[in-house]
Amino acid sequence: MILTYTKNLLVFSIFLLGSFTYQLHAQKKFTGFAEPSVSLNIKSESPWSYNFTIANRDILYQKEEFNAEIKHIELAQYTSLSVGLYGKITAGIRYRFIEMFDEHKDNEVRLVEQYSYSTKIKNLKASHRFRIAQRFRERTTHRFRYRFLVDIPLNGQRSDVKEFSLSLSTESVFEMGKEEKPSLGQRLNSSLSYQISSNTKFKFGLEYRYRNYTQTPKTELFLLTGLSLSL
Amino acid sequence: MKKLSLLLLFSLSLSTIAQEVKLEKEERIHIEQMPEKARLFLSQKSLTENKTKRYYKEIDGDKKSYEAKLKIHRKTYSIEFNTLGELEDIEVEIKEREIPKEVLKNIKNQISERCDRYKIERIQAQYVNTSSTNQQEVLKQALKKNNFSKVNYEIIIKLKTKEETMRCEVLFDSLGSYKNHRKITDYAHDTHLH
Repeated sequence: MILTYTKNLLVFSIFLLGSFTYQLHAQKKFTGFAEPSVSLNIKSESPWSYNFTIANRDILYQKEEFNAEIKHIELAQYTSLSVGLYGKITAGIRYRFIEMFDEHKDNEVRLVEQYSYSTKIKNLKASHRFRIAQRFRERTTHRFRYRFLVDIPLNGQRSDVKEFSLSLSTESVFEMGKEEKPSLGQRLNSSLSYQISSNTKFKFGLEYRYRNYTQTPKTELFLLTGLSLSL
Repeated sequence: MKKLSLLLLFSLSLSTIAQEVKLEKEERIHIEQMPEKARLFLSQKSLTENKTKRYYKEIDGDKKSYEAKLKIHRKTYSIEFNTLGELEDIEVEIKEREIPKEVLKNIKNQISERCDRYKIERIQAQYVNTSSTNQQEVLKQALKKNNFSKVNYEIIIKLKTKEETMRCEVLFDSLGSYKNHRKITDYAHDTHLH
């Protein structure tokens, strides 16, 4: 049962993303994407955990036209180690198959290193994530990111099976490289998760990205869907 | 000797912690969905002063119950009823400093013996409605928090052993002796990644 306060939260987040979408409509440098993903999480009794993900990014709207085309397919693997009571160190590798969809671009290898810290404040879960990444493609780009995320259970005090939760996050991204000017970007994400069973979760969300806003800004909107399985 | 045996019991049970799992599921409801007796209990003057009350239906394994959460003098109270609306217990969120020093020391010793690191996330003083008490007496004790001889301490701890990191609900009696514990399941998937 979703009560008034959870309804208000949903309305607020829809309003927030709706207003972004309205602004985006007026912008020429806007691209709309869809990104479905499936991930498998392996947790053991040890402090180690592993994640395998396959995702695909499709362009839905570009240059003021609706245009469905595949941008890339991505395979990712992350290995995490719990440190302390609330921290996690993660290293990951992502490989993007781009060439097969755009012959002018190379495939991309991305290395990821991150530290995340999650705590519970009453029934909310708040987490901080510091991530650095190296993107190897035609040129090499270094990324430094910080994300703050709040996870809110919408039924009761925590998310149980057959219950919804709402995640809201904001992330700052700084990019730099030898062959490019440094740039700053900001991301806002709002997503709804449904715990299908104790080890399966479905996620649906929207992410607004305001990229390179100090020089030549461009905006992107992602329609995200994800199925997450846990072993 | 009694303390030693309780410590041993707690140690043994923590080592087999995975077996005892808290399978509590809460669903927010309207007051009209609470049993009538519970509604009557909650309508008494000492509980109607605050405006924000939340009501939940709880399923804990095979057990069903109803719970009201409210704030009185900045303290969070959870009042639990059975399906007939009879009071089961009242829990009040308290700070560490509100537990008698010797009792707190006893509790902490027992926890730290069994894990590498821990953090107390929440403490609730639990006033149970037993056959020897009545509902009004329990409420009076909980509101005044002046009878520590009949209290239990329900403590949520995040702990790390050599094997794993987990969140746990541990119950101690008024003297700080271990009674039971349950591991709290966490459905968090990979929010730190995507």
